[in-house]
This record gives sequence, C-alpha cells and structure tokens, in this order.
Amino acid sequence: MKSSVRKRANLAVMNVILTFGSLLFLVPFYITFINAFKLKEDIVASPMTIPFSRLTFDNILRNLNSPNFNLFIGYGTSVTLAVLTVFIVISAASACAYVLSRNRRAAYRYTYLLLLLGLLLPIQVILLPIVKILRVAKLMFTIWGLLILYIGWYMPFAVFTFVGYIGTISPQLDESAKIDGANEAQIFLRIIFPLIGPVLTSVSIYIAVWTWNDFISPMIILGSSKFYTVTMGIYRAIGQYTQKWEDVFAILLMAIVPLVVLFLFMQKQFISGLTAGSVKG
Amino acid sequence: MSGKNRKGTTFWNMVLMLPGFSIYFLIIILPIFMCFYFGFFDWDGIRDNMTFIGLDNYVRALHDVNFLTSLKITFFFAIPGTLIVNTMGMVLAVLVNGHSRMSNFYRSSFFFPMLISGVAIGFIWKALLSYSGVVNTLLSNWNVEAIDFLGSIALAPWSILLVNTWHDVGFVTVLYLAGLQAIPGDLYDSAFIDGASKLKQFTAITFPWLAPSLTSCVIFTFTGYMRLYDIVFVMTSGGPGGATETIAIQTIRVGFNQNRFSYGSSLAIYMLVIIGVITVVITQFLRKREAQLIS
Amino acid sequence: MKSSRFRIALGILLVFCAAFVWASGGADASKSDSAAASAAETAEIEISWQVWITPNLTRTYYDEVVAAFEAENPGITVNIMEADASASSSAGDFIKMRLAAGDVPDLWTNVDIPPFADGGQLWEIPVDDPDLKLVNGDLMDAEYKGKLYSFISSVQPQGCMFYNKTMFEAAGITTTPKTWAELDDACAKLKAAGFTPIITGGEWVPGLIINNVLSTDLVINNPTFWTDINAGKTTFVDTPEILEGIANLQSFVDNGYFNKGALSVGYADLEQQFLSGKAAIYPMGSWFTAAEAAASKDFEVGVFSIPTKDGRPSLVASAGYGNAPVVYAKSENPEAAFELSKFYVMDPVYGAKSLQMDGLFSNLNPPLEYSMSPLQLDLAALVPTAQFGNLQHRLGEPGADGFFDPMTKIGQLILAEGSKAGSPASLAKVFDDYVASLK
Repeated sequence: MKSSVRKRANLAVMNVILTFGSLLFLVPFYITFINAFKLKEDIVASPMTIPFSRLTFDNILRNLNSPNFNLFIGYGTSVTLAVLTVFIVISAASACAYVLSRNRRAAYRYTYLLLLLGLLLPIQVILLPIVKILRVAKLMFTIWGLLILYIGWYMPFAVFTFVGYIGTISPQLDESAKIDGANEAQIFLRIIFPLIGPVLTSVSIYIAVWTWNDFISPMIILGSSKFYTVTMGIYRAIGQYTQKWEDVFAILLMAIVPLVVLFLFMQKQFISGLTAGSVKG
Repeated sequence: MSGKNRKGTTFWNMVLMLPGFSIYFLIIILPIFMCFYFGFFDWDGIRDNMTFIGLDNYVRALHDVNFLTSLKITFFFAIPGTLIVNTMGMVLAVLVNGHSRMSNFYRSSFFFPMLISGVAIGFIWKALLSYSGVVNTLLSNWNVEAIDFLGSIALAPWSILLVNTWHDVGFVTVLYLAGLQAIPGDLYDSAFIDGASKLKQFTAITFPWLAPSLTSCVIFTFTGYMRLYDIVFVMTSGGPGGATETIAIQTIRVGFNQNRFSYGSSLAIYMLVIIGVITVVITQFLRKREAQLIS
Repeated sequence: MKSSRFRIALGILLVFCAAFVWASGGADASKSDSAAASAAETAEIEISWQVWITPNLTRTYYDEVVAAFEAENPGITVNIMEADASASSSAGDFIKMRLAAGDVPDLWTNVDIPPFADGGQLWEIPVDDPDLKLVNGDLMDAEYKGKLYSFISSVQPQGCMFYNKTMFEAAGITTTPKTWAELDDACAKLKAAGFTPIITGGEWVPGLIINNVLSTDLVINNPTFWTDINAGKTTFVDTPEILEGIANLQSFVDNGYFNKGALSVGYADLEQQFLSGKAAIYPMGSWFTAAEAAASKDFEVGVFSIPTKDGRPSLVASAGYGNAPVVYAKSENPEAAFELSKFYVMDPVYGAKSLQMDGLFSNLNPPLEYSMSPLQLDLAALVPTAQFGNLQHRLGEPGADGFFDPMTKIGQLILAEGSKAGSPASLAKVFDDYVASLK
C-alpha cells in the first residue's frame, strides 16, 4: 500500500506532465491566435511574444471584406449540412452497427468488411466518380447531393465506432427482450440506443466538426450554385500563392473561431456526454 | 442464437441496415467499382470517350518504381504512427478520465486539434516548421542553428509523422474515453479491495475491456495514415524530391495533374487492395481477441 | 442523459435546417430551363467564364473586365465561375470536374491546352478573324497539332535572373554574367562579400528552375528536341545540354550558392525574402516584375537572362499554345465567348491592365502599352532575345504530358543534395523513364 504522501507526489508528477503536455498541444493555437493580430514585422521578429502596444485588427478586417460572401447563406448552409449529416448518420449508422455487432454469420461479416472500403481511400480519388453519379441522379449543385455524399462518407467511421461500443453491451439484454417478444428494431430503439450515449456524443462531435471544416467537397459539389459554406468562403483566400503569415494566421483564426466558441460554450455538454459514468451492472 | 425467428430477424435486420447501407453503397462502393472499371481503359479524365486497353494499367503499376517507393514511404508513416498514437491515446484517456477541473482542462486541450481541419493544421505547422518559421526564429534567438524540418530529405518525413501524431492523439483519446465509460465501476472497486496496483488494474481490467475500442481505433489510425493526403499536401506536397510522397499524393498527382485518370484509378485500386488486405487481417485478429476477452 | 431542453433545441435546429433547404429550393436556379427560355426570348446571350484567381488577378478585377465587356457588347451577359487555387491545384483540374458534372463554362482561363485539345474539348478559333491580324509574328506559331485554339497575345519571359544592384556593386561585380563561368565567378564574389548569392524556393519553383536552366542552350542548339525524343532519335541521357545543365546546377548547390532551407520556402514567402534583401539573385519569371513595381524596398533590381554555355543570349519564355482564354468545344455561344477572350487580352484598357498585373509584354502590333517600371523596361530590352520553345511546352513537338512533375522532382533533389543526388546521367535517365512510362 502506498503511503498517502507518495500517492500525492505521484499525482503531482502526473499533473505536471499532463499540464506540460496540454500546453504543448495548445501552443500551435496560441501562435495562430496571437500572430493574427500582429504586424508582419512583429511576427517575423518574435513569433511567440505579444507586443501589446502594436496589436492590430488590420489583418482580420482586411480579409473579412470579401465580396460575394453572404454571412447568412454561409452560416445557414454550414449549419444545415452539419446538423442534418449528424442526425442522419447517427440514426442510420447506429442501427447498422447494432445489426453487425450482434450477428457474426458470414453475410454480416462480409458486410462489415465491405464497410471497411470507405476507410481505405482519400476522398479525392473517388470524387470524380461521385460527381458523375450525382449528375445522373440530378443532385449535382444541390445541398441534397452534398448531404448524401457526407452521409455515405461518414457511415464507415460511425458504424465502426458504434460496433466497438455496442460490443461491450451484454447480449443478455437482447435475449431477455426477445423472450418478452420484442423484435430487433424494438430492441435497438428501446434498449441499445439509450445505452450508447458516450459514443453518440463523440461521433456527433467529430462528424459535425469535419463537416463544418470541409471545403473541398462543397467547392466541387456546390460549385456554382448559390450556396456556399462558411469554410468555403474563408479558404478562398488561402491559395497556393499566399504565404503572408499575417494574412494566413488571420484567416485560419477566422476559420477556427466559430468552432472554438461553440466548443467552449458546449464544453460541459460535450465532456459530460463523454464521461457520463458507467451505467452498467 | 436461437434459430426460431430467423426470417423475422432477418427482416428487421434489413430494415435497420438498409437506409445507411444503401447510401453508403451509392457513394463509396459504386465509385470504387467505377474506378476499377476505368482502370481497364486509357481515359485521361477529359475526353468524352475512352478506349479499352485491358489489363495494361494494372500490369504497369506492378513495375512502377515511383508507386512502390510511395508504398514504402506510406508504411513508414503508418506503422510507427499507429503504434504511437494508440499507445499515447490509451494512456492519456486513462489519465484524464475523471471529473476534476484539471481533468476537464487536459481533456479539452488534447481534444483541441481535432476541431481544426487537416488543411488548417498543415498550414499552422508549416508556419511553425518552415525554415524561416516560428520554431527556427526561436532557435536563432537562442543562438541555435536553424533546422530544415520540411526541406531536408531526411527530416521531412519525421516532421510529417510528428504533426500527424499530434493531430491524431486527441482523436483516439476521446474514443478511448468513451470506451472507458462502458467498463463497470464495480470491477475497479473489487480490484482495489483485492489490493491490485494501478498498473495491474490497467492490464487486467481496462485493457481487455477497451478491446472493442482498440479495434476501431487501430483501424481508424492505420487507414488514416495509409491514405494520408491533406497534411502532407499542404506541408510538403510530397517533396522534397518525393521524400514524403504517400500513395494518396502520388495517385492523385498521376490521376489528375498528369492527366492519366485511368492509370491513377488502377493505382487507387491497388492502394485499396493493399490497405484492405492488411486491415482485414488486423481486424480479424483484433475481433477474435475482442470476442475472447469480452466473453 | 439528453435533457429535454437539449431535445427541444435539437428539434428547433432541425426545423430550421429543413426550412432553409426548402426555402432555398435545394437546387441551383441558374441552370434551370426558365433561365434558358427567358434568354431566348430577349435574344440575350449568356456565357460563363471560368477565371483563375491569384493575388495578382483578383475577383474584383475580373468583375471590372466583365462590366466593361458587357458595356461594349449589349446582348451578352457574362457569369463568372471562380476556379480557386485552394480547391483545385490547377484550372485544368477544375474544368475536369465540371466536365464530369455536366456544367461546363464556355470560356476557360489558364488551362493547359494540350490535354484538352487531345480530348477534343476545345473550340478552334477562326484563323481569318480580322482582329487576329494584330498579333505579332505568325499566328500559327501557337498551333497545336495543326489546329489553333488560342493566340499568342503576350510574351512571358521565364528564364530571368533578377538581381539586387546594391549587392552586386558591393561585391565588385560590374557586368552581368553571360556564361555559366561568369555566373559562377559572380556568385563566388557575392559569397565572399557575405551575401547569399542565389535564392530560390520549394514546391513548383525547382521545376521552373530546371526548365529554364536546361532549356537555354537546348532551344538554340536543338529546337526540335522533343520531336527527336518522340521519334527515338535521341534521349535525355545522350544530350549534352541536359547533362551540362544538371551538372552546372549541382556544382552551384555544392558551392553553397543557394539559400539554406530553400525547399521549405513557399512561393510568396520567397518573393518577400528577395524583396527584403535576403539574397542577391532571384531566378523567376517575368510576373515578378509586377510585384516588384508595387513593393517598397531600399535597393534597385536589375535583370539578366540565365547564362548559356558560350554567352549567346537566350531568354527562355513561355512557348505555349496561346494565352488568350480558350473556348469550350460544346459551348452554345462560342463566338460570344471568343469575343470575351479577345477583349480580355486585346482591349486597349483591360488588355493592357492584364499585361501590367502579370508582368507580361505585349505581342500585338501595335503593342498594348502600359507604364513600365524601370525593371520592366530593362526586361523589355531583353525580350527580343526571347526564344520560342522550352522543355515544358515544346521544342518542335509538344513536351510530354505532365512533364513539369518529373522536372520539379529532379529540381528538388538537386537543390536538396547537389552532386549527392546522383550523376547527371542518372538524373537525366529519370526523364527518359518518365517519357517511356507514358507510352
């Protein structure tokens, strides 16, 4: 048995390491943040410091004045895509995951492996065929088309994560419900779904963030339609030609800020969703 | 599993699976078949028509030195990357699992990189690591010689590995955290009463129970590394001199920039098969282990 | 687990989304039949113009051009389609996606002509168009496989070496180098005086360097090089100009004439570094002169062309298949699109502006004038020595498809390792392998 002094010392050491690690993780953001408000000379001269007297909003303002960018359309599109994608993927994928997790017969195993295919290729490789498919389905340049793309794209990730989690839920629960006469759909909705809270939360967060941040697919699918996402509008300013750090950091900051604000706002929700505490037994 | 209501079961299983799977089929499976199909032609991505050339592309890919080199480079990232990320992720999840305010802070900071898209991460780290970037400016302030993180053939791959690990650790940590919630608390209580050390608790309880999460996380990180594109593209574009050219970068470059869409498709199919086979092997192994441990 | 408040919030959000999608109609109106019908009624021609946005050529500028064009051509409406460097690595990639999507712009800008011409997607321009008489030289210089898709309205020197006059003076260099030996000498002097002799960057820049260095002598000695390669009459490994060019570059790297960490310097950063006096010589294309004219710096910039073996002047310039935007083969209004293309490069006001913004020199007769900076005047004096042909574009026959890629790779290797990258023959072989792989 460790003495309480040694335990406290170990805890302290662990805290120091964790703190150091956390700060290390946050440093790139610190740099992005402070340099977005500095003049170019200051960024080059000393990137880590904050010259309080010479801070400027110029970088941000300069890059904010983009014609052809309606805030309402931008945010409306981004939010709609994120919310609908999350909602549909969570529902469809958890249902799939339940079935795949509980059935190990050949057909189901092969389906499980078939879902792997979606994780093996970067999207740019299949983007052109997807465009052709959407064109045939008359879904090109529509939000629906982009939505379908996102749903299909995130299915593998969601399904695999859910399968992993559902695997820890005892099949006993299924059995007893079956005895009571429930069918699979009812078991899923009434029993399984309520128990997978933590993964629902984490997967929702990831999908929402990834959908929000994506700009390549929207640029290609939404292209010349009158819709655009916030991130599309922002990244238009960063091309292969721009490496003026003061502009780049300002633009990156603008791309990051909505998510950070939301994250800080919803932190309690997110984090408690992830550490809801075990409800088993 | 009782064979009683097999038909009923299958019906409901289909109902549950069909919506998700059909969209997935349309967006992923179908395009993959299309790529496979295109590989048999000589399409440049531009013409309205294409000529059938049979297995030419697929045979050529087998001799393609550039392709084989890019495979090697990709594995260089994937194998250490997967190991490091998952080890760190699991350890971190255990360490920050809790409800204290410090735990919240740690969780948030490790998770933070995930909020940002791969492209933005690439830009930020490029600003940090480029020869005249932030890190080297700091080094010069301390009178240390500047290090060419991104422009040297030897260092560039390590820089990419570093950035990707930084990005992915938070990702798996969150998933492992969720997995930790599934472990019944009383297991730990009885272990504590039995006098087990923290380490023993980890190996005997935590690690086995995280097996399902481990399976998914290993699959995600491994496949993520194998198809690495965004971060590399922004930071080095596969350079210098092809030192960081992953198969994804090469496939897209060949297929698009060099206007050889069909050949690029055949490379993509090979990529798929190689990553697929390895992943399937890993998955089967891990799933078997899962089944053993959970039962 | 999910509080009821959360559920209410979620519900409201979903309703909002559904309403948003419903209200916006979900589909893009500009492609609907009603637009086409109304256009036919009022005899209005609508064309779409794909533009390539760069820091030099902004959306605002293109909007101005369109406004002026529409004013001069009532009855034609132009819709701009932005192709952006952030989503597509080239205008060509953007167009390929549009072809797959079935919504193709009528006029394309900055697109690589050969692959699209081979694919049958380009409209041949009318050779007897009276406006085209204004083009200097032979119109058919711009032909690709016997057909004309665009015309050469400007000259774009690429093999320029811009230099910092103050540093040259300080190092005691009195005349600009004409041969490799003289350049070596000058660099040695610069190094001795404590300056970084040459500055360059990573990404695509090494490709440009290689193209220029290898083409200067090649275009004089063997202007039908690609024809010979394609016919199997020679190889890269057997060509002395190639081997010597590579060897020269390698020796420069070995002597430490290039800036350290060059390969991690991005293009815009690179320009900035030269303009802030970090090095003496900056090999780059003429588009730099536009930035130079706008920059504030404390030294004057001069220019000389990349040296040749024996000092004969040879300024490598773009030798493509025309710079006027090209028209889509299946466009419904190709003539209108072509009018816009001509306007963009030939209009006295906007044609000249386009030249000025990109540091180009007019190839029209009479030439379009803009007020040139001292550097641009210096460069204009060199333009008569501009060659028509380079490895990337054509030397006789067109260059191999995508040849810029292996050039970039080899350029990066040489800049990274100098002689340690391999013997000139082994590096030249990479080019031969590439050409062989395309067959």
